[in-house]
Amino acid sequence: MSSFMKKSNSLWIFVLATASILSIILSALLGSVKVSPADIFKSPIILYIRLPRVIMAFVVGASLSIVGLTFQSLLKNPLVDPYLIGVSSGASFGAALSLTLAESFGYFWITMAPYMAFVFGLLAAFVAIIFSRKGKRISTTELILAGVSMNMIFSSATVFLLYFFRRSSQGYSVWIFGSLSGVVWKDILFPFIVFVLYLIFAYTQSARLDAFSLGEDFAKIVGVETESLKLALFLSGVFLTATLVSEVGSIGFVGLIVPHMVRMIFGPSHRHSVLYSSLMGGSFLVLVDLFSRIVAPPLEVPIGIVTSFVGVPVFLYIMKSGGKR
Amino acid sequence: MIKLVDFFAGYGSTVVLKDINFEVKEGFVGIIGPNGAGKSTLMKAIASLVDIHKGNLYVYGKEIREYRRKELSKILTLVSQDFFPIYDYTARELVEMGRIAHQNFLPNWTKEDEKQVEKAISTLGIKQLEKRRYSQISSGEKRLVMLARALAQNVKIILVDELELHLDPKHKMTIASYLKKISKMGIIVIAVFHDIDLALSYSDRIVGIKGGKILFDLSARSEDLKRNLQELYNIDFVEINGPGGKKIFPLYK
Repeated sequence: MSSFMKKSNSLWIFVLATASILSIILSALLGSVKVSPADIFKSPIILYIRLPRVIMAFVVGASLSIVGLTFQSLLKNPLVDPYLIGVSSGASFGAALSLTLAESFGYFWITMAPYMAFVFGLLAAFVAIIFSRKGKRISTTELILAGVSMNMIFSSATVFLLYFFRRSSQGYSVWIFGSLSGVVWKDILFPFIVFVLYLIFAYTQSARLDAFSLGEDFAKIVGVETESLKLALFLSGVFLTATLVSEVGSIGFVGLIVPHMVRMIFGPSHRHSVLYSSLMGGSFLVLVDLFSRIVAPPLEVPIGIVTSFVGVPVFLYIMKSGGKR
Repeated sequence: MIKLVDFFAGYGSTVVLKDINFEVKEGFVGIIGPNGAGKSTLMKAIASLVDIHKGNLYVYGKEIREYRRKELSKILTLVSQDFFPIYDYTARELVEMGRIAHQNFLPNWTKEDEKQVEKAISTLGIKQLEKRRYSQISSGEKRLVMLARALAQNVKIILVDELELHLDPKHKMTIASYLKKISKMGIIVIAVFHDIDLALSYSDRIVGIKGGKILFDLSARSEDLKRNLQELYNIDFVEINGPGGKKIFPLYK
């Protein structure tokens, strides 16, 4: 916003963008199949399998982080991310439902996956928020509990759906824990566009988000039209999450860990944290995906399991260190 | 300029302010009253943060419900001691938030914004704090930072809610003198005081609120103050002639 902060901003963006590119290159080069350095630019494994997957990992990580960041500010609560308040599981159920419907009623339902994911993601978030609301305040503990309930019910519903209607227990882990395998170039376009639009929106509203993170009354006093901003950021955040989930399933905790790290290092100002969170979140998920591919080849660990192993300790740490208020 | 006419307000269906008729055209108005009298609610009502049940509130002749938030925030703002940020911004960042109402939908930080921020910081003498995080400065300094934010907003009216609460006498005096200084700059200051003596010593006009109603509205030098204070707080007060003139104090027994 002001000249006061500008210098450090561009330097860090350069550093983080370089780190992001390096992580993408590293992740595309490494994997269970070895590619000789001479074949890097012509290897189909790199061009058609790894690269789209790695870029999708970046888009998903960046998106989840920035949605987590904005939700944490809107709800004035550092313990929130799209996964923890049930959006991801709801969206995951919506996407699985449209695939199931597609088997009986045709291709049309596959194209509906992001929208079904949006509807159910929204439903989960609204139920969680309504149940945790006391007057004007949203209680942290109850929001988390309601979010966990939404997670349980929608994860169970997803498994139920796949088990009884598709007569297979295989594939459910994709929706519950997420998976980036099988991503091709054309899957990336729509999530990428939605991500870029959301990034621009959040970045231009960063001063208002700053005020919002200090409380809704404070935001009003300094001139933020709180109701419309909240609604716009919330709906678009759920939509972004839904478009990702319908491609790669539900991946937890990224939106919690990354904004927390960013705030710890750079402070809470959204002018920085919106950009830094997306760059750091992107590289983070690229590296997590790399880890999940190479830790026990040829098996792949579902990516959400890795993020949970990292995320739960961070969650407990934030809870203990004063995220309670 | 603010005018409340037959004004009722509160939270949801709970009525806190009852039949308030009150007008402020200029100066420094001190608001006092027992705990739970509705003083903070009055400040929030003028800042359009509570539900209006009946009556009208005019801000410069226009009914408050007709203002958009951004428009209203260029005219008036509220500074409250009840401010406990979860996220730890720097003092400078907090003061800069006072310029949000002056930004378009897409941010357009101008020289004017920079100037107003600098002016607010230098008026309150907090240049040395600007890079420090809010959690790392003292309670007195925090209040000055919030006051600077209000000043940076470049409004005509500043509402203040018990900004001197829990401060030592020196810092109380500092806060009250800055409020006085701000009112001398031509900004209307309406301040709820926890400390009666401070309100009487610094404001031009004293309004007593009890049970959600205005009990009295007098000049700070009125001869009737003692009697009215006794009624407001239900205890005796004494008048003492000191070096700064006549003073009124509660008589603790």
